[in-house]
Amino acid sequence: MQSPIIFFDHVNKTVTTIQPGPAYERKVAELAAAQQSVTTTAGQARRD
Amino acid sequence: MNVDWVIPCRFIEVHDNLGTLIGAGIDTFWVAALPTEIQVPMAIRLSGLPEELHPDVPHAARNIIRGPDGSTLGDEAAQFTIGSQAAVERPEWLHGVLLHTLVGFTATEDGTYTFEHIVDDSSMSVPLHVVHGPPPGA
Repeated sequence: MQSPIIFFDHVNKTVTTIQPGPAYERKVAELAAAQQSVTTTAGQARRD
Repeated sequence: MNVDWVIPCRFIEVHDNLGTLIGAGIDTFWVAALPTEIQVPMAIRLSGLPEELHPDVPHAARNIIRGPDGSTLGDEAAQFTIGSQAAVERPEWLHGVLLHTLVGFTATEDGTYTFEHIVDDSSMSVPLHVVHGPPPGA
């Protein structure tokens, strides 16, 4: 069983569905590289 | 189809319906400038009856982002199917599916953004904070 990647792009107002296969693997590799470009943390949720 | 949980992550990889989640549970983005574009992977666990998971059955996926003031910043929808043709050994059980989603948006201000994921008639929301400034310890 395998589900697609669904990219909700609210910047360009598009949705892209990438089915398992070569394009799917390319997108995963692209996302692996992109994860280093922004600082994220957890556990400091605001009280509001 | 039910949305069982939604987990924001730094990175997701799904193969054979098994997920590798890296940085699972992130809740804050620290950004150097605003506005800025952010992409966040979110792992969604769905559960449904075997007949709902057949590749011929389309499902409706929708994602709504609300800004710190509660206004709707984005509302996008699409259909998808799940590629399962495996034999079902427990037809009376609910079956789980891990869905890999990616949400891209423009953060225009500091604050808490809410991400609502809707699949068919089930939904779940998660908050993410955007902070303009250096991360702790930087």
